[in-house]
Amino acid sequence: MLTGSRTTFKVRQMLPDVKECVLQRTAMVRKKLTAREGRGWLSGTLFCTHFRVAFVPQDGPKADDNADPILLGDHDIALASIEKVVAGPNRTKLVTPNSSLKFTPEELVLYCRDMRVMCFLFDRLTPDAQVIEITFTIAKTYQPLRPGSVLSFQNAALGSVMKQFLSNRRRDSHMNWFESAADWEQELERCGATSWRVSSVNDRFEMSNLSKYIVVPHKVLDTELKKSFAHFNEGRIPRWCWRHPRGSDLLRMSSFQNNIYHEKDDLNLELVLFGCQSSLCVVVELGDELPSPADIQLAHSRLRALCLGSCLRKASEVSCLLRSGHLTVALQSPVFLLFLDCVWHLWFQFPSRFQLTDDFLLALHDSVHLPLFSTFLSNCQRERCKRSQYTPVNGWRDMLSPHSSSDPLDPPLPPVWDWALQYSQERRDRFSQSVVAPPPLQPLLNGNLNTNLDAHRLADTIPGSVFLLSRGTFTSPPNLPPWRSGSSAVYKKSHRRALSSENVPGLERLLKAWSLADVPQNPAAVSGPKGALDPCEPLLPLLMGPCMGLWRECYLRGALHAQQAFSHPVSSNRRHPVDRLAEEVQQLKDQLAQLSSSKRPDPLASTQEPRRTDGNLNQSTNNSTFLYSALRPKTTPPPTSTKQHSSRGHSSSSSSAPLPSRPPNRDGNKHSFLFGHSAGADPRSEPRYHPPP
Amino acid sequence: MFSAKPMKPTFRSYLPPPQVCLYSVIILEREIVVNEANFVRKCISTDSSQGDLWGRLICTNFKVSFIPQDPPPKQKSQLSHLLLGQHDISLTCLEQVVTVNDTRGKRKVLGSNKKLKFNPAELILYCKDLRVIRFCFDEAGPESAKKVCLAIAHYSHPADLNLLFGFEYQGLRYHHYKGDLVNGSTPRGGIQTPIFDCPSDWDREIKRTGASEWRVCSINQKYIISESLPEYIVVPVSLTDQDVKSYSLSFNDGRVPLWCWNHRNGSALVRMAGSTEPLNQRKTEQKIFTAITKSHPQRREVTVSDLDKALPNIQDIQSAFVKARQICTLDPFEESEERWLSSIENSRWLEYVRMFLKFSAEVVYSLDGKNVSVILLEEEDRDLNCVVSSLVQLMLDPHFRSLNGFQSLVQKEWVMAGHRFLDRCNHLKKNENKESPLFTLFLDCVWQMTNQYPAAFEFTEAYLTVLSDSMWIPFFSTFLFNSSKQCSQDFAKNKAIPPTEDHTVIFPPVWKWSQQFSSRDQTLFNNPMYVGKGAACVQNGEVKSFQRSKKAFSSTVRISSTSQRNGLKGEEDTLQRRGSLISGLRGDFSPVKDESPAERFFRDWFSHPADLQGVLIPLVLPSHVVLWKLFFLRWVLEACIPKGGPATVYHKVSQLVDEIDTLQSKLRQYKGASPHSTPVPSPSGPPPGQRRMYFKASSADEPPTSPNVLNSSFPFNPVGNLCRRGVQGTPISKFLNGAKTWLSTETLANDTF
Repeated sequence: MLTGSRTTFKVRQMLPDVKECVLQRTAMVRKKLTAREGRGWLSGTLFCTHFRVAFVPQDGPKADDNADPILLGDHDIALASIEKVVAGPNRTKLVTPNSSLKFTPEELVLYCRDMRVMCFLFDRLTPDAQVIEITFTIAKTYQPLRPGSVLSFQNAALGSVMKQFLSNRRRDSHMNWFESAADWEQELERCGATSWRVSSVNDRFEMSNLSKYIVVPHKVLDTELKKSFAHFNEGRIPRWCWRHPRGSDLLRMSSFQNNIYHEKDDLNLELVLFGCQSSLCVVVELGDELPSPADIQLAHSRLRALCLGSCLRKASEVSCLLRSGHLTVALQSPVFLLFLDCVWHLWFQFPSRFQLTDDFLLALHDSVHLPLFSTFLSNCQRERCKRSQYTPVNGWRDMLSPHSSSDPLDPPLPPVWDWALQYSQERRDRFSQSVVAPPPLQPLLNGNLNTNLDAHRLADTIPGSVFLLSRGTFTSPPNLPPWRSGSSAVYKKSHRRALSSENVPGLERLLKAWSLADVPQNPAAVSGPKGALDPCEPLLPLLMGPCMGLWRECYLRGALHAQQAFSHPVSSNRRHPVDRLAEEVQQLKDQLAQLSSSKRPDPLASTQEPRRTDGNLNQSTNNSTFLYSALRPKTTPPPTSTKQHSSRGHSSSSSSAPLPSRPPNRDGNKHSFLFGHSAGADPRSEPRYHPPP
Repeated sequence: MFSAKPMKPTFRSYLPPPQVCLYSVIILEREIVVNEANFVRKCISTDSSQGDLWGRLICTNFKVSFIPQDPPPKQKSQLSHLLLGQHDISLTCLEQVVTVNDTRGKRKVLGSNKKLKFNPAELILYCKDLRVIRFCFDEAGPESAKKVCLAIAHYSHPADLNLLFGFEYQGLRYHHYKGDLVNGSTPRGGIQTPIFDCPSDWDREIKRTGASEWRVCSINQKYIISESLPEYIVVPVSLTDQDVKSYSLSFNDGRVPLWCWNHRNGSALVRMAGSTEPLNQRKTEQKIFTAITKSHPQRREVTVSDLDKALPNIQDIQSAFVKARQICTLDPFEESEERWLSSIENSRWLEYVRMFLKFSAEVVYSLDGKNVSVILLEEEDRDLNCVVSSLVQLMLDPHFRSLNGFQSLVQKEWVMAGHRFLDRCNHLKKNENKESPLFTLFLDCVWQMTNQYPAAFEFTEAYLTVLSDSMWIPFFSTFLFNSSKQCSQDFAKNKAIPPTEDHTVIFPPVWKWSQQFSSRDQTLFNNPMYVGKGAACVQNGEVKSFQRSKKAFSSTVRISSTSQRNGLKGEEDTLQRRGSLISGLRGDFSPVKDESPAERFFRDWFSHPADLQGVLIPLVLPSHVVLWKLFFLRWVLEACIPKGGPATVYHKVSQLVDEIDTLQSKLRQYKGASPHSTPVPSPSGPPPGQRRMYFKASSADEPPTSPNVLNSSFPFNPVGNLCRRGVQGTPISKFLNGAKTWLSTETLANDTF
């Protein structure tokens, strides 16, 4: 009944080429706009396809026939992210595939898993049958009924044009995907981590579910590595993540596997694996300090209930949802969402230290709930590589039936970073702010920024000591690595590094040295030398009650939107006006340049003057933002024209500087443009994805 | 005229005989050092003595001053007060003076003329601006320590208002002959803010609001009918002076209903006190209501809002504030960490802020949505009415969201309307029951609105905070008296002036900010994001963005008349709807059943983009009324985000706006120049004195201000105030803090390195 009548459609204007199977359509629908969208109502046509609920505004922008197809328009919502469908408004009814509607809804509210809420208003002239039909169509389609139908469902739902498009889509080559050995090499070089190497010991995923390439100490041999996998849960051996500019490295690993037999050869394994032959190493036990995934899951579902609770009209509805598992099924453990919230807190406390904005975090948050992106749909690289063995993340959906994915027509799932598939240029522009302190030019530090303090540290501590930080205390348990315990009592006795847990003199001295160095802990200490921020200085979030907040823009947007009386105001930290102001600065500069060149009352006053000012401004910007600007070779020729020189010349200098293989920072001019960004030729409009040859 | 007199306080280097080190203290004219103690330790942290300052503690008749021996380098971007140093506390600002006995840790709250039986080991000063300051006397002489504590306690409890230092200070500088009075009003001294002590200020306000059916009445000259009303009041034109006089008898303290403000649609906002004689009350009230109705162009009936029934009383507000203050400044954070948000919620302060905002929004609905005049009724008309009437005007009239407009609003609805600042601030520390932070509550409500609409107000939260601090400096007429009569008559005579001369003391209002801050520091008051008449350049940007949204959504044009606000404009043609013939388009937009007209008004308002130059209604959901962190937490070092917080955004925006200003002035110079004359564009734009922004765009001669010194307490500096524990709470830092304590107790010299 539903699929037969209107098989395909060309969504007017928005999606010129995508042929999607339209199940239902209703014209003269109004969509309620959120405060971010400018409030008010927008009228247009509502479509329901196998894949999404599309809303096409009546007077939307004229379509560009050459434009790339997109997965979701700004007003669309993927069926997969719908959590429930409620018809209203005078009586509200949760619409399920099996329920019946005893009234004609005037309003349709879609509650999403990502805590958005979409409100649609039907016109009274629309026949009742049509309104009821589209309501039920959405209610029936949004949940894949058969288990294991996610991918086949998604693939069947996508139009052929979209599939073709996705198959030909190429990845952003400017981004480090950390998939190949070269990617890791590049990162090692960026961080200046010289004593580490990329190992391909796991390149066939035989050793563990780690990625193909892992970074391990330079000195460790692959044969040694192979033996070490057994000592760790799921074979997740210690591997390198990042190197601090001052030279310490960050590693991650799973907990030790205690119940296996350890050979004598293993005894110095930790030295090998941790790469700490020359310094000491601290193992931080996260499980003791941090909430478990189950705790996080519980807290998240409580938060959802609380935030959505205010828009569910009856408390019983909430409990009903909780019981039926709707609220909990979305993500078994939203660890990634917790991470996003942590990033948001950092961003909120240090808004000017991030290039990304909370719009970006929101987009990422919402995309997690879409079962569309390879980024979030696989558990590890192995799964991403072999889609036939795909097991969805954390119980997103059930196992995929093997035959459906073997369909050769299925395009590869796009990564979430292909933002153009979901967000318009205008929305994507808001993902980053223009004026931001640029990251320090790497690899100037090369990880060799060792100070006297470090020398102290090295001289004073026994190299190779391994300490355990657990529950806020340092210990040096003799059997921290399990291979040291029991059987190897002889070694333990004679081993010079076998320290008792009570007495850790090396560590004490280290901490003393550290304390004496007076690490800036409060604003009193930060009034130090004038000039730029220390790029090595971490952003330390404040953790006390008064400093923690609720990510209102994320968790409360739906609840507020649904409450008819109030929508969301634009809060102080939202939508930095900086971009707008910066644009205005540029316009004024252009005007000034025009005037000065057209008038020329006095060649000295009119042409020299603005140029000089620009140059000065630009220069002092450098002083304020680039810590190492003096070190950078000045390849820029002296400015010659009135306007073009300022940011262009500068950005080219930063990108043409003799940097290593790292591709030029394409946003380079964005960082530094504070006083010279030309609004006209926006480098960001350059397509990120290049069509295949 | 006092403008000729020297305005700057005298700076005198204070060099004590024994020390050779160079430090100075600001000593004002007529300020006398009463007592002092040497070798006093100012405690910075409770858990270790690291970072403590050594110096001299001084008590004068104006302030408690601490002069550190080795003062830490002064921060560049920090508000510096012209009358008070970084470690100074005005005596009026002291909330409690507590001494601690060394041996038993016994605490004693010191009042005036109290005896102290033990030698104090510590002195803790709890300040009204939420600072907590602790001094240790372990190296100071016990006698001098005791004396200075007693002196501080004594001088912070003046027996009489006359004894406040302000009378000494201003009495010297601001007295003048009565003959100097211009048109019966005090000279303004270059302040643009109207004071509302003369008929012309009221006339201008009537004209500005278009209240043609109202007039200035001078029946209360010499405070004949009421001691708490201003000398000039605004009444309906249909009432004669005699009517006003006779009606005044029926109201508390003779307070006839007082006009506050007129809406463009003709409805008026009036405030009224309760009655003294309930029997005749109805008759009198009816007559006045009729007169107000007559002054309404549509002759609408008036609505009376009883504030006493709907809002918390002043004691409730006081106890909520005390609790909130306790949670923010005193309670050790570790113990309340997990439940911190709950405890703030339980203080009910935020709830009261919400209630006042909500109540005011409902009055806005009556005036703007229902087009009826509203009478705010409160028993005394001197407390809650001040909050509500000024909030209502702030929401309705964009003029009051400018800096001068806001100051005139406070002047009109608080100072002239007779808010008992003297009692509510408890300057004399005599009657705790009368103390209530209503003005602070009002400022918090205003802050909530600035937080929700950051571009709608000309002033910053730093301004609001500085204004609240000014309450505790006894120099300003604004916050010192219970009524304008008290200010201009009762206390105009003073012992500082020889009785033979016909002089009166004139206290300047707080609005003369040059008394407290340099003109550069005053630029901290300017909100760079403000979209208003004064800020044309920023407006350009705003207008642009509005245009864009207009194009995209075609429904965002807000028309002040509500009847035309009907959702999508121009859509009636394309969408013929069932029922639209009878109910009109707006009727179709009521998806919520059983909606009251007020709810519909708000829903309608919130479904449109807010016009920052129009009516502004705050969100009053519990989730959107938040703690005013700058006010409550600025002195709490533990909660201070170094190199972060909203100040960093303010810094960037200010720089951009300054650059826009500079470029625009250059552009004007180019455009204004005739083709033959040589334009002389100055590279730095307008001279520094005229620049509006605190942070300047960087230029060659002026290196950019490093954001290094910015933190979330900016422009205040929490350093030097009591800190209760180490700053970071990560597992490693917990350990390291332990290590630090241990380091301080153990001599490091013995260690072999």
